[in-house]
Amino acid sequence: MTPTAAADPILVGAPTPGELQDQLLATTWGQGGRGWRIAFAIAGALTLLLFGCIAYTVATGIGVWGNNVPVAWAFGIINFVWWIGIGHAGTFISAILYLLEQRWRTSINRFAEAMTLFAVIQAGLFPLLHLGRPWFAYWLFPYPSVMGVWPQVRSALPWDAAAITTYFTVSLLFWFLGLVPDLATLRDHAPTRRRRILYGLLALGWRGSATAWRHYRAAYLILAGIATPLVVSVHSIVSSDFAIGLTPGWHSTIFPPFFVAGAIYSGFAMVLTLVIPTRAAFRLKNVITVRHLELCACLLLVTGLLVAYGYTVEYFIAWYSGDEAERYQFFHGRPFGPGSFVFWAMLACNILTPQLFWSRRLRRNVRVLFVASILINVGMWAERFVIIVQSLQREYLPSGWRGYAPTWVDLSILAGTLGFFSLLFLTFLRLLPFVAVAEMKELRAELAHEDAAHRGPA
Amino acid sequence: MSSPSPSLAEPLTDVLTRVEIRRRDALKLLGAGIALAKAGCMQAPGEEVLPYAHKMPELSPGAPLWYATSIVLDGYATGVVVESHEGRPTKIEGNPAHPASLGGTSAIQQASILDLYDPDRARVVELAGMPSSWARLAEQLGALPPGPLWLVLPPQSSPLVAGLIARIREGHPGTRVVYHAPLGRGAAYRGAVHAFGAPLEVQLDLTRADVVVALDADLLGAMHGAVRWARDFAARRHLDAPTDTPVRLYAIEPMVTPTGSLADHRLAAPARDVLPVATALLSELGRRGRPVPPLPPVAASVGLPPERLRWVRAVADDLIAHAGRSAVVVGDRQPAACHALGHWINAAVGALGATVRLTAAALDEPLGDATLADLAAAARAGQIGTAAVLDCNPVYASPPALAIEAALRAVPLTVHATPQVDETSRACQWTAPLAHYLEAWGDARALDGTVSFVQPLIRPLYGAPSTVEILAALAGLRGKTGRALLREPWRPRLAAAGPAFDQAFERAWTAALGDGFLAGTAAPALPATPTAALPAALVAELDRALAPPADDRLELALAGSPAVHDGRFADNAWLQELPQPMTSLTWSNALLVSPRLADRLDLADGTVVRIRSGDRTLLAPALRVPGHADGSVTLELGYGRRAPDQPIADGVGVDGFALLGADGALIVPAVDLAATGQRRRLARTQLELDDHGRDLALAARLDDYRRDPDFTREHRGPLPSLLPVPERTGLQWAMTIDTTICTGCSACVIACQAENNVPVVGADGVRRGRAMHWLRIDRYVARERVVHQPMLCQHCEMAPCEYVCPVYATSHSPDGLNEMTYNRCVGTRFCSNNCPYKVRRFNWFNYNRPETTAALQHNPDVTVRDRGVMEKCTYCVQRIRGAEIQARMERRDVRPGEVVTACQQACPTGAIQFGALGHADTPMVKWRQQPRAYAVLHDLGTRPRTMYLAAIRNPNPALDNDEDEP
Amino acid sequence: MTRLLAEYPTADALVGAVRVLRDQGYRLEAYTPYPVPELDRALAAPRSRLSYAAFLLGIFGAAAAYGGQWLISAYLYPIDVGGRPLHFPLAFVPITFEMGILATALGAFAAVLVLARLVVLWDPLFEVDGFASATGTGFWLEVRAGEPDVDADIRADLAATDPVRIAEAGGPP
Repeated sequence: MTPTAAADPILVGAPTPGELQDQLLATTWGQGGRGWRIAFAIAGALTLLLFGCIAYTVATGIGVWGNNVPVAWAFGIINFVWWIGIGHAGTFISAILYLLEQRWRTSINRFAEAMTLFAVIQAGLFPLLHLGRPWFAYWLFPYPSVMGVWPQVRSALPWDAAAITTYFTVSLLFWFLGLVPDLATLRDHAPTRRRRILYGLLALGWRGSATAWRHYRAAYLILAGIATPLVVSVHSIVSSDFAIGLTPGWHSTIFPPFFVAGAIYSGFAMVLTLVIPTRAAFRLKNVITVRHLELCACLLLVTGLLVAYGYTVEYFIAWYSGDEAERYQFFHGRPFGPGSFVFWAMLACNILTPQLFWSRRLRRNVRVLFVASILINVGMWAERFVIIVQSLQREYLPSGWRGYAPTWVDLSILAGTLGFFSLLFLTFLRLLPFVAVAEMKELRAELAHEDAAHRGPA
Repeated sequence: MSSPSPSLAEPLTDVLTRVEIRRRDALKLLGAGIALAKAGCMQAPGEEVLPYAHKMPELSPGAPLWYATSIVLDGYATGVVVESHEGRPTKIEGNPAHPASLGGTSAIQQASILDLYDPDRARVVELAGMPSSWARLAEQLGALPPGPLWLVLPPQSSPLVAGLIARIREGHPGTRVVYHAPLGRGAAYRGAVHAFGAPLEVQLDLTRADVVVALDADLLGAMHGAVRWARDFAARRHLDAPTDTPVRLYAIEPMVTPTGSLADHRLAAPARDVLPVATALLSELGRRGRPVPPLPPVAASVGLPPERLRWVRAVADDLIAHAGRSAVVVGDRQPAACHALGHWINAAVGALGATVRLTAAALDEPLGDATLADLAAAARAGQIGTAAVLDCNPVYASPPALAIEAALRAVPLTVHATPQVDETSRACQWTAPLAHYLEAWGDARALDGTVSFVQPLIRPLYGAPSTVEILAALAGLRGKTGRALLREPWRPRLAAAGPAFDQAFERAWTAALGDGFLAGTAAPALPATPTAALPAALVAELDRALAPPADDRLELALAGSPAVHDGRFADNAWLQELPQPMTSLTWSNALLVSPRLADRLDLADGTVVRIRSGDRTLLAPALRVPGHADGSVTLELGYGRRAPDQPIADGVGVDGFALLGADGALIVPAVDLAATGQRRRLARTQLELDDHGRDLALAARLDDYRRDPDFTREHRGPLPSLLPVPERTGLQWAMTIDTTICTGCSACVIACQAENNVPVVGADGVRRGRAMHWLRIDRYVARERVVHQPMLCQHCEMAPCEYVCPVYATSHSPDGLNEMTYNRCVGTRFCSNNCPYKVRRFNWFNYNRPETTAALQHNPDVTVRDRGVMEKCTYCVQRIRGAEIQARMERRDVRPGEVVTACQQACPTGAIQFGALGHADTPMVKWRQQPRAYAVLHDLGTRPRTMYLAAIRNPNPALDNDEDEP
Repeated sequence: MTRLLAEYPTADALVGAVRVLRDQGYRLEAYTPYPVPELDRALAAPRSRLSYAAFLLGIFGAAAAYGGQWLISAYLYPIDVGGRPLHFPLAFVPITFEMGILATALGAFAAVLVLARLVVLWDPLFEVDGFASATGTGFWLEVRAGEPDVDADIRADLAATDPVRIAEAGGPP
């Protein structure tokens, strides 16, 4: 199963530090190709659509969305949970894999962390937007108010506010700290004065002294250490938005681990969706190798199975509880009720797709990976739709049962966040080295040492 | 915009002749309201009205005053008490002392307050579309062109109007009067003529009834005595203990009515099959040795299907078993023959003089003078000089065959006095706005004959005359105010002649207006017994009616809408959005069909059907109603208005009058249905009638209840919990609702809407599931058995909505209320998701329209909610706090029963009881201690403060089978 | 004071030079494009104390969060929500945890900025031509010199470790 590094390297060839650096920095110096410009234009247009719809919603009222009673939460919260979930892969890769000393993380962690940040930015829009009175969103945070009332911290929503804020801040610090040495490199090798000033400011005057490196590594280790429980806690708390409620289909203790697994699942899917075209476009196949993709696929398989387990337990408990509302929810409402096709799509995408990755050949087939990753992203969105909308459609009192249909605004906002996300991501690709240069040099050095060690006795 | 001086009525009209007024002007109007209160209701020169309260408080800002007046519908008066804030009437409540109300009201009466402020009201007198003036019209009415005068107006029971019409007839010999009421009761009176030789009125005394049989009679819902009858019926239906024996109710009807939904044995049958059943019932009684007249041979030929025969026999036995304590009630739309047979049945079971009393009719000329058909004929023949159509809309609400519009156009002088410009206005030369009853003086009789007074609470907003004033003008009485006109005839009647006459009269007058009616003026019961033999006319009618139908084609049963009646309330947004009993349909009517028939014709809800009756056709969306008779389809009247001046009513639903035969009979014997391709999305509030086997609305048969009184044990009592049980001291508010006597009439829904400034959201809003009613009536239908469950905020002691709110916008008060703090709400809607009862309502848009006159109806004691905030039932907290303040001022505790919520107040049957748990001797507390009390979704541990009493049915063992068990 | 700098082609060369010069008792500092673990040992640098700062801040953040929650929901505004306890430890856990994490992260970040002497706009080293390679492919060694007269010896000793080049920079600003 696990090929030796030699047979299946995580860094192809033995580039000199100079070559490596030039290759990795080239993405920031070079012109974005035509493809990049087209993508940027599309992303820009969708972003405008997003902010247009936001303005329309805030000006007219949340009623322009399809929400109703009983389905008082719909696309807004679905998108929120989906984007937050995607935002989990980055921290997982850079923190947990760092602690586990998984070298292969080096080539993709910067990339994944950026993805995390941008995804969390999208997610962060929705807790505000879905409010009836968004302009009072700050009431969820504690501040000495003349109204003399503070947030109600027994509710899961202030927990959310705390978790999302923390997660964004920590991810940003972690990402930026990792960037500092590379920013210094950019500063020292920038072709133009304007860039030198820009990167110079961002580099905070990094000189790479041994002392600095010592504290730097300590700080990086601590951030990695705390980001690991954080990444688990964030989606657990998000899941409690539902788990503390008594809606059939929400009130479930499996939710925290189930949500975390789903989050990492969708996160890695998104990593693949992004990394596959990028490595091709910027000719980095020697740095981000098939080995990396294969390892992501393995993680998809694992988390996919965890998610499948989650579904199974949900169904078992629904049956075992004997609660007729729960049973109806899972055995009638979801599979046959309104919007049931989403439920079946969810099963197909989330359960069947990852089974492909039992086969090494398919794991290493880039096309298959790309399509599969997109299917899984769709599947995870569908999962949130099922959990949120379908649960609310079929609650305790049949008299209150009602279906749900999104409006064009709902759809536009979803598309818009995809555009906004891509916009940020495309900008990042051109502005910063999306593979950690310093770490790659370090990795290269370590690999060189090992090769020497291998050859030594021979 | 011009800024009118608020204290005069004239500039007021300037302001209000615009449909929309700005907030500033609305405030001015409010000021004007105060002035008008003084002018119209308090001591103003020459105009004096005294409030209902015997001890009248000063008009202190913020403290509402209460005035007694009467609502008259189709000629029958119901006493009401109107809440007035600074001279601005805001809320209608039943007059507890008035025999037709006993405190209850109907949904329509509750909603009538909105018509006063309807922005679409007629505002100016128009001649051929050009603005004119009331003075000119009065002039014109004083000098009519040659040719007889025809009056078209609703049925009248007003002594004042009777007097005026008499004077008009003197002044204009040959005057004819058409008492126009599409839902009139002519058949009932003709039936009485068959039986007694006179158009007598049936007075039910249900407090003494053990068995009631409703023959297509919605005696608890739509009929004119319903509000009172429902209260009496409930008194016999409610159980205090399993040992009680509630009244047993049989019903035969095509469409499920509130009455039918409560029936212990409901026979779903086409309306045309009611007469055969009545005939069979009468002959069965005869066969059992009761005194019945010899029936014509055709009666013997009536062959009922076995299960109906079984039903009839069981009913006959039960009626006899409870002779003297049973009653048969016949519905207004049934033919005269059926009413006549009803009288003989009642006579045969000893009901006459016991549960059924007969009195003189409350209406003047109950059999009518002329008919619309006469009018049409005379008009075409050019034999009408003047046609004055007052307060009715014959062009819309009449058989198309009569072509009333064309007829009116053929009349030299036509005048239409109407609250709103409508179809008839377009056919008349003069259009005059008509005063709302809250702006007018008058009198009328209740169904039982009690004289009731109509007194204004506000000077006419648009200076419009009342029907009485127009009639006075026709009678040549110029320049007399309504008040003067009313006092004049009452002077001799209210006080005995003598030296102190004036003081005596004023005292009596004051007292009468204070009470709103004259006690003891009910018509005396007449010792009436039906003739020994059926009169020839009746026999002839029976021969015609009982002849077996040529084919078994579908019957179309037309019915008045429980919301918009015959269409006159179609511009009332509250009534349009009122979920109709049984169908929860809003903003439209529909062709109501039984599921079996729907399957046969392949009709889904909303499938547009082409209804053909003779050469008349109509397209209407179909709607399945479990329990509807298979051989019949029902269409409610009052929709499909073509009135551009009534934007709310215009084009909503389909016009059932288009299918009305020339005779105006509401039972159209033979129609054909054909499904068209089209589909219409109906706006309904409840889509699921099946309770999916969940014990939500509990019900039991009486004998099961007696066998196991504790059958709701699973649904109440303490539950284990990890959390400590909250300790709350002091008065603890709570509600108990008896589903045994809830008819689902929905008066409470409108009452709540009026009291709590609940907005309407329109058909699309309802379709999207955004209806705002704080109180809805859930219905669960199991085996064609309906249980009505009024569902409002349950005020859970462990409220799941509260702990999920991130900003303390909903929290618990020390006295056990689940409170909303609108200002705190940011609109996360988590509370709605977490409410298992789904009673929370969200302001998806800004539904509040301060710029229209309708905003003047708002209750100043209740916050008008802004966009983006959650809202829900508050147990009428404003009334609770009001009572507490009153108690504190009087240095006492709040008295048991002092706080009455709007829904409780309006409920005709008294099914809703509210109060403090500490007040042990109130019904609210006693009820919830009954073994049949239960909490909805008890096992969730929310500990709701609202408890329900299970619906107890009292089926007849002879007819009972397990299918009846709910 | 002045600083003498020497560039070496590889990390190993740098580490070798450090070992030699330390034995001669020089005060040394090294500049590398990526962390070289051997350097710390060669320089005998103490373990970073940064983690203590982060830890303390973390504890403080968590404690403050819990205290704050108790204060606003049980003490300042004891409002009855759904009959739940006013002091509800279970419900206070998530925010306490998150705030602990947040404080730790901010602490660690602030500490590294201080300890690694970051957030400076200029340093004499930037004036040294070729020093840019310290963030690229070069490995630099710095010797802190005292009086000028010892300079010669230092240069000699440096040259003995055959660097690629030797340069001079002013003292830190």
